Amino acid sequence: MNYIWKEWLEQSRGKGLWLGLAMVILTSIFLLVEARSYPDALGFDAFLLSLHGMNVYLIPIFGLFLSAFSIFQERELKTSMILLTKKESYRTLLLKKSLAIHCVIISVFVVWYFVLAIFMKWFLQFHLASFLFFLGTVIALLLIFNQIGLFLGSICNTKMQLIGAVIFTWFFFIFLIDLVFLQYVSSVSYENVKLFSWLYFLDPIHTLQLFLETSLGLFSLNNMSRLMEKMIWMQPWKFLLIDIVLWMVIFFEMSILLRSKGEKS
Amino acid sequence: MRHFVLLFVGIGIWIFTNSPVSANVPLQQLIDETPINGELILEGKKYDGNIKINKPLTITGEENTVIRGNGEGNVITIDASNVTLKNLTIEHGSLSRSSDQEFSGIRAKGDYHQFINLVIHDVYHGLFLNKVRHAEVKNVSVTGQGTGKLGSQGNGIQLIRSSDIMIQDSYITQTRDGIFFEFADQVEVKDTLVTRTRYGLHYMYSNDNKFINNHFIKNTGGAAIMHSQGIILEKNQFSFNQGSRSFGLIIQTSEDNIIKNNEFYLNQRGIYLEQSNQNQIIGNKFFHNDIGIELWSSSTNQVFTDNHFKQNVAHVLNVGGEASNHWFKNGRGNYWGNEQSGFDLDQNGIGDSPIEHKSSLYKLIDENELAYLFLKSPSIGIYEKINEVMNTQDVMVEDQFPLIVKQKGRSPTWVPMLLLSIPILLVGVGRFYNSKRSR
Repeated sequence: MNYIWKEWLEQSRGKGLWLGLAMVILTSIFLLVEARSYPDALGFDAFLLSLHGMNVYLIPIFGLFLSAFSIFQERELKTSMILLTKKESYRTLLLKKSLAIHCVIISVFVVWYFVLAIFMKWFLQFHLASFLFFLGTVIALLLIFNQIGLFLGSICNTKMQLIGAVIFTWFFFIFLIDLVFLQYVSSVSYENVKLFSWLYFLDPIHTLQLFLETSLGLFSLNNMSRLMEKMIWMQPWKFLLIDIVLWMVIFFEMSILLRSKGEKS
Repeated sequence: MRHFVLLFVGIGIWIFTNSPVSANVPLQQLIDETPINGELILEGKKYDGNIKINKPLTITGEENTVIRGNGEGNVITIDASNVTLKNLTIEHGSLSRSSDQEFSGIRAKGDYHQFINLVIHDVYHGLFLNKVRHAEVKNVSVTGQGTGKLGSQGNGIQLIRSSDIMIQDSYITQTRDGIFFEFADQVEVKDTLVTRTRYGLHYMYSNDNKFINNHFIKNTGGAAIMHSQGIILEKNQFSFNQGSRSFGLIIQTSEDNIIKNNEFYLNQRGIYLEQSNQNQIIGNKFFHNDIGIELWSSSTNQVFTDNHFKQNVAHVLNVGGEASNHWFKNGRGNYWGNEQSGFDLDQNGIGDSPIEHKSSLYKLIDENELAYLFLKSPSIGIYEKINEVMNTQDVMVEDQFPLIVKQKGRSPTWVPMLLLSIPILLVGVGRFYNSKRSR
């Protein structure tokens, strides 16, 4: 609890969280205004999809920056060193720090989306289940990218290094992976599609898109071609669960394994 | 005195013939006892089927009248003309596929039928019209079996070798195909909603039909027009048709159809044209689709005018090679969105210079179905840019007379203003909170 309170104080006093939130709020507002021009029956689902499309750009970079700088600051201000002397191992410290960051950042975003839900209910044909599925995608995005941010903050030695690493990671997940996939998609056949499927769905951005579309009842998993049936061979929520667990555990362990040498000494 | 007796007898007959019949008498017996062209009024109770109607008559239900089949065969079989069914719920037909026919809630032959205010569910096909002429289907709701394999689902309304049918104000969901046509001509479908089916409309070898003001939403495919001609699709909405190779409207091996003033929102592909010629696509809106129009090279001589394209990942893709199609007629092209509209210095509503829309996505689509999974990817823009720089894009559209949307002066509405005030308020509160703490 102390860690969460400490994290909240640090994040709320810093400008990063509010800047990030303000950008999400602004884009949400403009998308909401645009969604009002859609036919009534479609407006809400279309709005959630647009919002998700925008979140895919914004939330990863905020999650990466906020969490990376939070852990980096612990090292820079030597607070982590003080905490480690109090019978705290780096693993437990990182675990508590991770929980605190997830709690604070996710709470702030979730609170905003509940505020936005009031306006959604006001202007669009609000559907609670769809909204909760959407909220699930926001939380999943934050969980994964916060954890990656914590990893980057743990391994980088300078701020410049950290900024470079965060931007590269964001660019890698959002753009680079798909550019690589696009180079190879033509060589995917019925025989090797399972391998392609694993690689494709290990990217949380892909999985979240499919999860949201299927949950909203937009993407039908019925009547698919044989190739597509083999490609989407598991329920999207299972892929998503695997992604969340896998990425969080991998980056948590890697943070401990690869934490910067200065810190180890 | 004699007049009074006659009056009472007359009233007695009137009351007797119009009062609801008892549910204890078997329904088939009641039907058999009803005179030709007579009306049978059923109580608001559950009646056991299955039933056969082989003479002209009207069956009208009161509130909550249910005809429940025995789970074997059709619930109602009509083998006569001039039959009207009104205000009924029809349920529990056979779902068996190992018999010589596919069973239905209602299976009808003959002419001049009316099906009004019916709810049909728990059946294989909903309403099956076979060799029927001059029928009216109004306010009929069909709910299919929903999930499961395609073969276990029937169609909502099935028209085989039928003509002069009017379907209106109906609702079909969770069936294989919403309305299935085969050799059905002069049919009009209007004000009908088809959702959560494979194809909202599946259409083969049927000509000269009209579809007006229908909604095809959240199907794998909105409407599939195949091997047909002379079809008019007007003011329909094809939306949220997403999935594996989904589309709002597919036109395959069909010609001389008119697709006018329809809306295509949020589909994987708005219109998909293959092996089709001389179709006119006029005044439609293509918003937020992955691909607005996918046009295979086997399709030629289509005319596209006055269509609005806005915020599609790709407005138009030509797949499989070049094809000859017309993107303007009589000096009018299409609206291509603000980003591509160019100048209109003489303000005649037509762009001063032609528009050329290029893309490289057609190669991906051509090569592998899985490419559709990447159309929403943020990297698609970069992929297009890379191909533009490398000059590996092809021309998809050449519109000599692109239309320009005239911008009207807009005053800011209170909605964005109100919403904008939230972040400002938030920042203000944050600063106040921080300053208080720092003191």
